[in-house]
Amino acid sequence: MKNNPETKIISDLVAYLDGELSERDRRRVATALRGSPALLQEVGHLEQTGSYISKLDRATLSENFPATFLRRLKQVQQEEQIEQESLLARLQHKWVEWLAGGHWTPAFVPVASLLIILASFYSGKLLTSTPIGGSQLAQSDQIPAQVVENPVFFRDYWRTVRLERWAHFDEIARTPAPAHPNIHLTRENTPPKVIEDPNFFIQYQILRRMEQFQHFESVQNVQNINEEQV
Amino acid sequence: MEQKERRPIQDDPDVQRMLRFQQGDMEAFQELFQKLSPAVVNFAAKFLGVRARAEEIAQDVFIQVYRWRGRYEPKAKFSTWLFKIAHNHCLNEVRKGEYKVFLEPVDLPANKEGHERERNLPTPEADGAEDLLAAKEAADKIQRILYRIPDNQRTAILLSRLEGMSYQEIADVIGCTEKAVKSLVFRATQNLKDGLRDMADDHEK
Repeated sequence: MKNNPETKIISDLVAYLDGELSERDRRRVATALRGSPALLQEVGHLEQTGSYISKLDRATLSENFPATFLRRLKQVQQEEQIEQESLLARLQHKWVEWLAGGHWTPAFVPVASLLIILASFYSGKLLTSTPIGGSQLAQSDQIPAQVVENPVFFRDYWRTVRLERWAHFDEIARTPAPAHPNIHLTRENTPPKVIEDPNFFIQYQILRRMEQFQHFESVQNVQNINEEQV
Repeated sequence: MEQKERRPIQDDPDVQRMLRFQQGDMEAFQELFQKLSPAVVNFAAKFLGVRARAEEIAQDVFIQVYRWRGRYEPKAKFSTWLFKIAHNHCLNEVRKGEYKVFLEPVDLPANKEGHERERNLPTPEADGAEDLLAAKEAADKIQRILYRIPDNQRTAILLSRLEGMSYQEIADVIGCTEKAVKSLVFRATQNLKDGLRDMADDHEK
């Protein structure tokens, strides 16, 4: 059936009428139509059937159709407006409600303490009881340019300055440099004051290396160790 | 099938309207609604056979256009996108089952003999009172047969004959190949022709 040329022609007739055939197929169908009155009649029937649909009355709109749609559209717009209230805005709203409701008071002390501890830790102030004004140091001409350029070292520089001010540095400096920079510190090879003061102990390896290399740039080389220890 | 030359999508004024609407121009959306909603209602009415529901479907379609304005990409003519939404809404509606009575599958006869009887069908161009009545009757028959042919055939023949869409555009709407549309339109026409002939047979009996 599929291979029947006439069947193939018939299945192409509607597309032929619709002008949807390729030029080659159109010629093939046209040739077949010229030689077959039956096919020509079939074309007539198909064309007539198609025209019944195109001549069907178009559905007319009811009078209230646009008004109904407008009403629905406004409803959708209102819904969208509500949806567009972002999650953040809703959270803010709830946050304000929570604050106003006073439900936060029991949680205030632990939360505030935690925040202070975290802030202190990250600003490096936990390690000293007598902070030095950062701006004061930053403006000093004595700070090496490399330290200013590199904020990671800047933090360590403050500690170094403090060590010098409190005269612990000399004691550290007198300690012989280890043969290997990654050597573990023990009670035997570490100055007592350093052991007594854990705030300095954390810097001790860096300071030892600074001393060993005799120049400040060497701080760069111990950056990783410093971060691991902190 | 020969690849026909397609006009640039940007030349479609409805695409331009939709793009303006995407930028927040509500007037462009109103223009689209005014221009195209009658066609969507007509399509849904013919597809479902229920005019009142057709209006609701058309409204649903335009509400979806409104909601999906951000997703629209001018890949084809705007009407293609619109009727794709309409087609899906109509299919969902049919699947609800409320239209089962109309869409009960019927094995329409293929290639029946008796072409002579088709000559008894009134022509669509009838102008006398009796002819008009016969034409109305024929239109009702067409409607009834339309409900009985498969969904995709119905969509293909309706978009082709009512909206004058090309096979390529119909393929975009249904989501199939142009070749498949060619087959759908042919089978739909054949089914309609055979259905009309059967009705004429019943009438004669």
